[in-house]
Amino acid sequence: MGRLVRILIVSLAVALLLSGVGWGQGRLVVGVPADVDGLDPHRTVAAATFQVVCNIYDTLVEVTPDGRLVPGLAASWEISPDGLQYTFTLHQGIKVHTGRDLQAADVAASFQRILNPATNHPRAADYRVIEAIETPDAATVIFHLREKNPAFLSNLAMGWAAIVPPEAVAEAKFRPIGTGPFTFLDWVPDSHLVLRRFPDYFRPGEPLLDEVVFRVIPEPSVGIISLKTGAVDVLSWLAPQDVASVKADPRLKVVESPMNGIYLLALNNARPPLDDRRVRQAINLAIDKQAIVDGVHWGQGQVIGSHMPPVSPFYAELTDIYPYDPDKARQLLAEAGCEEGFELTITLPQPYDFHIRNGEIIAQQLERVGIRVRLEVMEWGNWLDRVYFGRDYQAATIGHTGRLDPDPFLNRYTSDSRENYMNYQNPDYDELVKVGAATLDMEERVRIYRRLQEMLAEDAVAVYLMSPNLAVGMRANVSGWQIYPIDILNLRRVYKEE
Amino acid sequence: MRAYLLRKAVGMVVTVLLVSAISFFVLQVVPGDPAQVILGTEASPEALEDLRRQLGLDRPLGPRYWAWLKGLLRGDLGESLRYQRPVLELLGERLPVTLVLTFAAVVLAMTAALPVALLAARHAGTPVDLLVVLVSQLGLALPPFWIGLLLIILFSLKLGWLPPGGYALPGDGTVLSYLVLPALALSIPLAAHLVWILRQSILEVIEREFIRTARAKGLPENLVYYRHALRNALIPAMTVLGIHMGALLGGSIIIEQIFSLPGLGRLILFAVYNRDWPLLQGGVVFMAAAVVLVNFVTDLVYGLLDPRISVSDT
Repeated sequence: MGRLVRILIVSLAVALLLSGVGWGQGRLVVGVPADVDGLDPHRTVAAATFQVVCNIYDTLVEVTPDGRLVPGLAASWEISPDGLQYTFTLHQGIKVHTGRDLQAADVAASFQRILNPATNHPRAADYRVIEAIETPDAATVIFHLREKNPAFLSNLAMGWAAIVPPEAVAEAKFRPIGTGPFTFLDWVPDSHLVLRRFPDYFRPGEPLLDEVVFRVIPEPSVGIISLKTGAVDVLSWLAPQDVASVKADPRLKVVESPMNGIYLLALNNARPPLDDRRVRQAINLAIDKQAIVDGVHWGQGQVIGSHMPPVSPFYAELTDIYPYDPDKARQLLAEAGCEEGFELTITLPQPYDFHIRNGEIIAQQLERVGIRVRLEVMEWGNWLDRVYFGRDYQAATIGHTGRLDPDPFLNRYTSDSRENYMNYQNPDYDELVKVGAATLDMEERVRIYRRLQEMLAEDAVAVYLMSPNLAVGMRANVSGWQIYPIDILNLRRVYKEE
Repeated sequence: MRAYLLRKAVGMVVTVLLVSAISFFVLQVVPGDPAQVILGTEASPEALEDLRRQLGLDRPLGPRYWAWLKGLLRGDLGESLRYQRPVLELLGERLPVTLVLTFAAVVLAMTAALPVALLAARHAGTPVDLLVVLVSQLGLALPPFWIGLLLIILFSLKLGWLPPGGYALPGDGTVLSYLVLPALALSIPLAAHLVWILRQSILEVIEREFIRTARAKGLPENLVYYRHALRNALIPAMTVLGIHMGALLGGSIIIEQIFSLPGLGRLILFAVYNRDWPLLQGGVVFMAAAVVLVNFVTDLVYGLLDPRISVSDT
């Protein structure tokens, strides 16, 4: 009887196969771990959304894989000597997906939408520095700023600064209309999203693909199988443990790059005994960061010493300050009056597996110097409430990703920042952040932001663990894939060799 | 009969209303702020306050529940905070996937379980029986996500017969091929449970007097099993099926997650992570209604299977 059932199933499967299971030809299928939460770049904070909509919309300025700012919709720009006026000249022949020409007024309208409180743009604060926008002719946009802002230009390259033409506004969440290399075709939530080539894209010869499908695959192991069977051409995120097996498969390849982000063990500097710098330093000395990179992330990352990833030009190399040294850690704990150790609760965010596992390894390492760790796993929304905004915690694992400018990375440690969840208080630090945010000279800025990183490391504000790598898996016939320092999947120059 | 149906219907409505009230108030106690999730960690307190007002989250709980209830009576479950679309529409979009999956799983499970259970019962105590018992135990013990992964590895990776999950893309041919593996994964634990229950109850029924009478009358053994024993043994199986169906209709989150299917389960999971209260509330009430309805249908089917269990007014 069992055999009969098996035969039935098998013949059913064969019948379905014969009836034509399409695997998709002439298009690129990209497996992504999470779905977009809408398609309006002005109304989301979801990384999954920016990854996709960067193909539908353009920004005035763009960033290259190595972090340089280059022309986007703007063919060129000029900054006044006082740093208060930015004049952009638009490319010629930019078409909106509806077929008409993009005008300077559309760019102005898009920024007015960002600044309009009714839009609820989550990052509107980044653009509040704009005092007025002028459009003297159809190809020129002039921004007048209230004050000097060295981050302004790079903020224009972020996905949430996309130029959304007025005709897209009404249904921007579901039917995006942009100027980008691809037009929107279809979105089935939690399943897939289809984009089609925009023939009138303003950069001749681009894009190279006819159609792109983003397929949501939440389960990483199924993602790998989908890649190996060819059900997807690209898997936008490889779990660290899968990188080696994808590399070993001759039909596949991996494109990888260090990420513009860091993982850390946050410490509540206001909570005893962590308010004692020696205790925080002891915790830093007691943690073998390389063991975490190897044990949790399969070597796919780099140890760091402060709150900045090595890909940033502002990065300061500070990994030597706290080498792995449990003996010295015990000694510092004794000096701080914690000879007997103490109880430490680490709050771990669900469903972020790697943060949870980071915490598990840290717990074992801290036990060795007499710190008794209790691990507390907390669902993300709850974690945000309790740890990030409530500051009601002792220690927590988490990650931070960055902008192109170093200020958003480091201004969270100023005394009055709402996001200073580690409760760091240092008037010198506060002062220097202000100076940095108003300095235009690049060399001077590098010096300032490196000094800020040193201050964080010296005070052992947190345990800065590592900067992870991003690995993208793909079929061997996919070419032109690039990884950017901001979280986008730019498919303009990607193609498939047949 | 009419009075019975009426009483049942009132009971069902009351149950669903109770569930809706409890879930509504419990959800408000859960930590996490939808405005915070929408605006992210960099939002200013003023922007958060504004958004909460726009979403109606600043109003007191009582009036909010009342407004929601009035909407429910009109067939309006409100609007999702995150998708900014009617909840009913979103549930409706996901329902077909879940429905097809559920029914396919039930049909597969029943088709497999009936003959296997009969076979085991007729050969009770023999190695055949032992094997069936062992395999069904195994089917009960294996977690569905593991079964799902094994099926994907076998049928997609090794054999290349079926897609490893997802839903058909435009121009991809038949949708059915995408549903075979998930339906199979869902049906295995259910089939195992059914085999277990059916075998047991056939063995019990077969000892009863009416079976002895039937045999004494010279009825062929096949007829004894199929007409008399099986029919009576189906009643406990229906209960098991009813329980599973209720749960399956709410969407099998794990199976949908593994097979990347856009069903109800993942919609509800999305609502939880995004603190999308109206969507979550709508999903919970929908699930409650599905369970209550399936239980009611199960009651009616009992009556069909066994005339002694009558849905009467007593």
